[in-house]
Amino acid sequence: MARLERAARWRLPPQEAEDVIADYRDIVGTPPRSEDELRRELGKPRNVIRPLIQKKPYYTWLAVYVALAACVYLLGHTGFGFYSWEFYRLCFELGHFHLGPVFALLGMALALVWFRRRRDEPKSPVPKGIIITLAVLLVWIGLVFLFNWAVLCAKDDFFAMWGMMEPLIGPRGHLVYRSMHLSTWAMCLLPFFVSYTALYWLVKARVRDRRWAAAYVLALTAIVITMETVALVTSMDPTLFIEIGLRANLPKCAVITVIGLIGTGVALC
Amino acid sequence: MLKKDLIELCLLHLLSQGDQYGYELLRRLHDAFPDTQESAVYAILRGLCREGCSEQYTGQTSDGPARKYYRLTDSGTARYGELLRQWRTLLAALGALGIN
Repeated sequence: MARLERAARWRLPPQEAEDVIADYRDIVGTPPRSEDELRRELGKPRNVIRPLIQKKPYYTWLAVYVALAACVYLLGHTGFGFYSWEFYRLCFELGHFHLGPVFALLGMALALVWFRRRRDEPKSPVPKGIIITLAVLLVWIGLVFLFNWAVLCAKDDFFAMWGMMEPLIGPRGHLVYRSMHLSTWAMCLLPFFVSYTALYWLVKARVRDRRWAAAYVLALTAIVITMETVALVTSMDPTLFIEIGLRANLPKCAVITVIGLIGTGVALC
Repeated sequence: MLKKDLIELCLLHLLSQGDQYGYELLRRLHDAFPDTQESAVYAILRGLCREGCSEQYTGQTSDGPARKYYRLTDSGTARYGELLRQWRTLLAALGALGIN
């Protein structure tokens, strides 16, 4: 029954899926039948649902899934490799205009429209899994802001702080370089792995609870502010570095984060 | 007339006798067409819903949880009449050939 429910919710429009599941709960339960009997009389869960698929809504959903997946996948994969700036610029830069945030906002808007609350949807508490996921993503966003502040805005204070620790942990320059190097690596790899997880959250938003879309929206926010920061840190272009300005990144990330947080709140409603 | 149309005719006929819930319809159809999987019959029933020939509503039962019932719509009644006419024409044609 669980497999049948998943298959129904993935392939059928939400209301149709709920009606079919309600019917099959009756069919499966009256009279109680063994798994083998059910397979013989009904077929495999996937085959049970296949004749019920309506092509237009199903292919529309698949197209939406591909579009949502593309937004998070492309953004997340620009971070794979230390030359992220090159990837990011190749994929998302148009002159001095960055397409990364545009992709993220498109993904957020599409997710919010697609996974909006249905009129007749009963209210239920937010599942723990979603809350934990959102908390982890918020910590990640917080760390990106800390990195921005420490390395880009208050770098002198930051370096001085490391300098105080020099007698304990070795020469300052080497340590700063190493910590930046490691942080940047982490910031490149995290979006890469989270982009795959976000695809799974989209599946959960379809088959379990539409509020998993909130995790997708916040993941897009985290990925794009991370990549904007990484792009700036790993850039070898001094003119761009000066022109955009070290301090300009923080307000830009703040605006994206505020939009992402509002989107997350809307998705949770 | 295909087997699908025959099953559709039977479903509409059963619904014309009164509202019924999914399992009840499927069980009776499965008895009449034992070589057809219940899921295939159910797909035809849902198809009738999508086409507006039948509609679903939640009904209360005295001794159990709320169940989803199916009932015939006006367009379902018209479809039933059309299929019944086709069936009678087919019967007459077969009778003319000496097939009883």
